[in-house]
Amino acid sequence: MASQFYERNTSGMNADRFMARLTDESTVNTMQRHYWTARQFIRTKLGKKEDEHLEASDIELDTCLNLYRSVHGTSFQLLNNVDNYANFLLDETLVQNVLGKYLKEKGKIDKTVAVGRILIAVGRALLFSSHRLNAARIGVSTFYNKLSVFVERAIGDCSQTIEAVQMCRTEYRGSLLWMKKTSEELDPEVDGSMEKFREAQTTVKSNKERLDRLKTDTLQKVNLFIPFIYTTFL
Amino acid sequence: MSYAYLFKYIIIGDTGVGKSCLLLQFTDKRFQPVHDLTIGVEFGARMVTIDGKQIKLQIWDTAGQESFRSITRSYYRGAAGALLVYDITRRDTFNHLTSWLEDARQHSNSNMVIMLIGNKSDLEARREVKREEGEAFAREHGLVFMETSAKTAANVEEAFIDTAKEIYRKIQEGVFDINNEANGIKLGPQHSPSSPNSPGGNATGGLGGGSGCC
Repeated sequence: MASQFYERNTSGMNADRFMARLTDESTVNTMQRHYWTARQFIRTKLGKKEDEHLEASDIELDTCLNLYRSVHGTSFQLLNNVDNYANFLLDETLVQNVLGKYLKEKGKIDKTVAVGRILIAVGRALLFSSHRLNAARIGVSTFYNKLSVFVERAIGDCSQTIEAVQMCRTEYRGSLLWMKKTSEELDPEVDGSMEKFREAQTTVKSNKERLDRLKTDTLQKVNLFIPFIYTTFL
Repeated sequence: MSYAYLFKYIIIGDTGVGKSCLLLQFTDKRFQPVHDLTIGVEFGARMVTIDGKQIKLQIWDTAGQESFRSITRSYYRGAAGALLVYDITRRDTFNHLTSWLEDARQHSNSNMVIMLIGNKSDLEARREVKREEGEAFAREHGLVFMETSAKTAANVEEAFIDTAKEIYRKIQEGVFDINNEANGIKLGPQHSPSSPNSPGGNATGGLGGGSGCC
């Protein structure tokens, strides 16, 4: 979890380790930020309900995430099924082909002319059908290739964004909890109370900017699925 | 600067109705067409003189965005006045007033003075909510109503100052207990006993004594 968390937060480049020192965030501040993220994470894991306004503000993203999950799940199933179908088609083609050849051969050496003719005719039909099946199989495997590119590239790429947006949302909601806590004691006339609030506010602000960007990314990427699905499947 | 009273105000309403602009116009007398989204809350303060007394208005400009709604609720605590703002060019901001009012009534003290404000009155051409509708809503819920424009500064001063006057009147009538900070009213750091009405001493029986509230 720890390493995953690190990787989601940075580009994975070694330089990122030193970036923290360039920003003027204090250690205490960093700790607080992580504390509230962790707290939100646990809240989510425990299945605590968020308040309805927060949920409502994320409804677009949630619809998008649901669409993604459904596309993700069904695409993988479809890929599996198409793969199986192509394999069975191949088996069928081979069996028909071999059987057709066998029947033709047997038909030629059959002593009763009528039976021989029938055997040859059936054999030919089977051979013809096997060629047809093979042609169909090519279509199916082209579809399989297209679909697997979609699954690997589009869905694979999107899943990274989705992971990032979900992580960012946890951070954002965590910082909201933090800001709420500092808001309860907030009094601009009292020294120190403002600073605490400002720290939380700055974090909320940067998290919000990041989340908004990622939200747009997610929406755009998931919306790109739809034209693809139309052109490929319909 | 010394003051006799400090009133805590809160500005609430949907996102983009011009809450921050109203505050900016009131405190700095300027208008900024593009404003950053308020995160949580921002503050403003200004001194006004009412009845010869210096009153400091401490204004909490809250975020209107939906995701901050539960945080905004914690700012109602201890507010003496609230400006409930809607945008006259956007019908939905008017429709949400009931839910804002409900929130305000639930999370603040019952004596809080609420002023209903229809902002952006300079955009007459794009008006979607009639002035009469605002008036009717205010009458129905017992609020004071005003249409303002943060851009042209029309009625902005009046909105804040009338609210302050109303709070001051309530203090004079003894509705507000000024020794209870939960009411959003604080006494100034120094009280000269020169004025008989000044709530100089908690010891002398405090406010309302000389004002003849009965």
